[in-house]
Amino acid sequence: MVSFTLNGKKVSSTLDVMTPLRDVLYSMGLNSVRDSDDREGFAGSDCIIFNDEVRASNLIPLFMAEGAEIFTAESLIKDRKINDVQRAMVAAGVVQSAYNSPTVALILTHLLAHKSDATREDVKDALSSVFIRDAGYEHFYLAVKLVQEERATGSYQTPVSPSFRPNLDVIGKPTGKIDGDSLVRGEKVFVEDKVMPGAYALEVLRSPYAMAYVKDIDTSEAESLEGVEAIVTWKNVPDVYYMSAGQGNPEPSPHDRKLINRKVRHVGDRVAAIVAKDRETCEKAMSLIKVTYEPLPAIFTVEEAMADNAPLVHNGKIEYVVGAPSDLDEQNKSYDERDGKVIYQFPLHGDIRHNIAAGAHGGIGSLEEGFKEADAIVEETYQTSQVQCTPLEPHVCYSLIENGRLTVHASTQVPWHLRRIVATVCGLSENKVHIIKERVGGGYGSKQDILVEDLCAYCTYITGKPIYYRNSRKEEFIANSTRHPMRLTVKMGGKKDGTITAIYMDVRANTGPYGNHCLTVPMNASSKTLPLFAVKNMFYDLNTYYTNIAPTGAYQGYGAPKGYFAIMSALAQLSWKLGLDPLEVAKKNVVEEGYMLEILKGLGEGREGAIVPVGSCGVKQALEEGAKMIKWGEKESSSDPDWAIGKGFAMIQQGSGLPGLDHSNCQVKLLTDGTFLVLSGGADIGTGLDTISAKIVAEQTKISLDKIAVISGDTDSCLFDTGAYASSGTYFSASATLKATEDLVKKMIKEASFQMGEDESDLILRSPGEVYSTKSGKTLSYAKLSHDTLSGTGHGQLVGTGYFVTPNNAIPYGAHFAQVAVNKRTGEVKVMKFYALQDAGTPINPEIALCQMYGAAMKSIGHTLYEGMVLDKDGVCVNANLTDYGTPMIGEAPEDFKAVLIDVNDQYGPYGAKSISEIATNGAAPAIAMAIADATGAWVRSWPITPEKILKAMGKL
Amino acid sequence: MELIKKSSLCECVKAKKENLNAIYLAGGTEALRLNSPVKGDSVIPISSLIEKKIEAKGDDIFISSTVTFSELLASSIVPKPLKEACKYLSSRALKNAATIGGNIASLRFDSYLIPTLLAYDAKLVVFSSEEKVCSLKKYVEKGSCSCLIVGILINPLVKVVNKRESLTSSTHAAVTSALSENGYFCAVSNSGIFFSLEQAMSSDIKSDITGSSEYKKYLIKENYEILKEALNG
Repeated sequence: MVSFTLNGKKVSSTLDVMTPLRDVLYSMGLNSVRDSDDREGFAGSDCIIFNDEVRASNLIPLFMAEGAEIFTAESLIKDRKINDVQRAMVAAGVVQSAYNSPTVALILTHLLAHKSDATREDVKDALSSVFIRDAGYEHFYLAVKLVQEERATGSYQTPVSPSFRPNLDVIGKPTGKIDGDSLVRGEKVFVEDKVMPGAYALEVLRSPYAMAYVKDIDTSEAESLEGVEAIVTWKNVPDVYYMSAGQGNPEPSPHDRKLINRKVRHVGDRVAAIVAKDRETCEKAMSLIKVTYEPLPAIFTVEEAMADNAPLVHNGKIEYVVGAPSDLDEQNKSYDERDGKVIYQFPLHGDIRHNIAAGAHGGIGSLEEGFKEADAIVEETYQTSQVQCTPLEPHVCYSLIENGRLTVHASTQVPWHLRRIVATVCGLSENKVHIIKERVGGGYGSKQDILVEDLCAYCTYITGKPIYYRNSRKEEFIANSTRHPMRLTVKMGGKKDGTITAIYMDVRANTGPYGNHCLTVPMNASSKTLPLFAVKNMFYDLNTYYTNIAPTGAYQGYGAPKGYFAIMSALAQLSWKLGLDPLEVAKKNVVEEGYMLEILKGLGEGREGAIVPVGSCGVKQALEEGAKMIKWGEKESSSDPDWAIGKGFAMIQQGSGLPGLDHSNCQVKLLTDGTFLVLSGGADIGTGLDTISAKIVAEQTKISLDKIAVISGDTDSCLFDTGAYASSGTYFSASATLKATEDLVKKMIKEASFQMGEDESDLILRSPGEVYSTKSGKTLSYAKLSHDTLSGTGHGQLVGTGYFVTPNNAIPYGAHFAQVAVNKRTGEVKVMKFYALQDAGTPINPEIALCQMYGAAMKSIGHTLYEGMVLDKDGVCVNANLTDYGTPMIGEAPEDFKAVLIDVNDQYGPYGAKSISEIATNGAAPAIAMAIADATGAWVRSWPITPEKILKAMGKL
Repeated sequence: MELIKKSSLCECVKAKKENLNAIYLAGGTEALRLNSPVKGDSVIPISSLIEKKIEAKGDDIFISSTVTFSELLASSIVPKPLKEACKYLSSRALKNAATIGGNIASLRFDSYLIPTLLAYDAKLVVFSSEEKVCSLKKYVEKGSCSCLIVGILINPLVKVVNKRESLTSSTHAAVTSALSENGYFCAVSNSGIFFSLEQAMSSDIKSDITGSSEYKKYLIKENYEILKEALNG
């Protein structure tokens, strides 16, 4: 038995003395002590205070805790109240997906206890053990400053963000997230916290080959092992083809996989799934499964996929739900049954016999004419790498049968797509499936895909057992979804006066083994870049290829960061060739409000797009303000001759959901005491969508935020929503909340008119929650209004319902600027300054918006300079862990990092709001690449821009 | 993993000899960490058996092997270059656990401290059947040892300059170098620890995720030039 002091109380544990302390503490109910890296000592979610020092509890075996004094984040709570550091973190907007927020609060509390006047450097050192992916690091400095100010003066002195719309009460004001308190204190809010004792384990036997047929698989010995409940292989999975992307139905992605396939298509592909009483039994059973493979030659790059006689990743039967080509029989003459099927929901210009999963082509004007007019032309090819979303909470699922229905506790961005796909795989109708979206400990696109829930839920369905599944960090890399690697060629022509005369983009994307998002992600490389240019002649060609790399999928920004890397780099190179300033060329050729976006016609996602004018647009303001901030045009010199300094920028845009495709619903109820319950279809994935919903209700009903509760993403309680992807939350889900609230307000006024005997036109809602007659001065509290309408003679509960669809775009714009220092002898790069300026319309949660800009920009800086999965010649990922992969930590954050919200009021978004975070992944790569070229004269056109590549580009290697 | 708990250094060394797959455990950042090259099926804890000390011993400084990186950084007598090398480990939580002895004993080819300690011509106080002093260089050359590092002796007056090249603050280094009057030393990822520029340049430097062979060789040479300028400057 090992005894120690835990949060001030003597405790003891009889677990094995080598058990990691993290597991011991979590088993004691201290769920703030989480695990993001399987004992890698990297992410810091497991940090505790151990004998007055910050330590990784995963790296402390239980026996070392004998006599130790240990504190976890639970110790910060006094009288059920969070402490001042936690409050400041919520106020500063850094509590977002929050998987390790309690731990960070603990670390900062410990720091301030030892050094009340902690400096920026002290905070940097304290947070050096913590990986933050969502909010960046900048506002953690602010949170510490707020605590210091409050302790010194009794209140915060530094504004946490600017405020917008002075005529509104909470919209555009930093109020903190409504769930911030729960998240920062470490409540049991994540999927792993919901798992009941007795849950079964699920483990997956994965392919060691990049491509092979499973010739034979013998599970008999494994199945006879005590404790094994079921083993699923290609032989006994349902004959159901689907794909993992959570997209609108019918999806613009081919259905090209079963739960487990006979042909494995990447290292890490599913071969067998074992359900057993615990993980140890699963692992033992796994070792007893005998598999005979027929290895096949594999391909890993677009070039290999394009080659004549390249091995075919999918050589199964092709089917079309609608729009089958006339030569389909010809295409199916030579298919191999072992490959299964590829079922297109509608034509995507795929040609799987040449490894093409999807294609698209389109444009406006005449390239020939455009290039003929040009005084200079550049044509370059850019390569992006395979990067991983790396959410702190890995993909996880807990499924069980409740009241005869399949219940799935999920960490998902798409509860309704998840329900549909799980129901399809299990052969159930949707009324038999209940998805509960728990808090999401980081998604960034990867939880738009159904990567674990399909298998976990199916195993529960066939066994009747509650099952808990969690990806290891290695599985997150090899069997998850990643950013599509792309090869983009951009040809751009321009005149001496700076007019861009033509742009051509050739996009070749690598979708890996399966075709989820194979059209839409690569499309974004063009569809989110070309509409930013007021250029008459623009065309693109896109082809997406199947290969045998680890799976790809959605990642924040979709294909846009790659498109911007190519197109803005080309713009800079063209400008320099013409002897012009790239900033001036950008300003000359950028769209402005009212410009008709003819290019959109050819940029629909598998359908014809609608031509619309540019709406609210703050891009020029962002370019001008950013240029001033970074002193564009002034050459900086370094005092050290080894270092050269350069500057770069990118103008950027994204979208706000998918007009014409996305659909959101919401209900708002007036409860019996006059408070409100919002049932939103929108999936808050840590981004503050629930807070937006609450703010809209508060604004409409003039009631305080604490009188509003939000339930979201529960498929039983809430109404349908396409989900949190494509930057849809604020525009679509929140607009549905607005419509529902407006509906409720109308009903409240009508009922109040009846109860008060007043004309509806004389009644208004006012603070602190009452109906007021402007004619008589009479008031009626919401509580009485609700009570009386629910009495024996009442008219029923007051419930507002709203849905939102739209053909209109609410496009966010922006500009990012970078200043870098490059060591000309070693190739080392330091990002000295990074300024992100974005037009998000009305930022409803401005402090949270700023943090999302920091977080997204940090991700993008990571992709630009450090991150990339590396496969060996056999397709094995050799850096499938956070350390080797290269995720940026606080040490990589720019020395001078600023996020600025450009004040633009949108005509379509709720209260003028547009989306905020995805766009922020678009700027770093082109801005930094341009800055490096400005500093050294050398262009590096592939991610990550490593010191080695810079040295090569400079001719030193 | 099994725990082999002993009450003296002598018993620890004996246990290690009897259990070839056992490893000594101090801070745990190598012995217990996922993907660490240090692997064992049992651990022999040593922390409570070696008193933590950082003290002057004649012209030298004696540092107990169980002193952590954080304790080195907090010490008033540890020379700045060694502190700089400690900072190469960026994580505060790991600095609070990782020990100087553990970093030496793990003999990693991306070692944070070994090149700098070699530049100090550090001596190791080791315990086998008895306590004795050997040079770090010999310990590194030997490659593995069942003896237990008790402490490290360095002469703080030696002027040392050092440099680390890694993609991020937390990724493994491609090349870690140090230079002093005692020579040029470098740890090169996936390739080895070298005691001179010539030895490194003539060795089989392997490509890996930290960079190509060509890049690493370039850095080995360029770092030497940069450090030479710093040492002379």
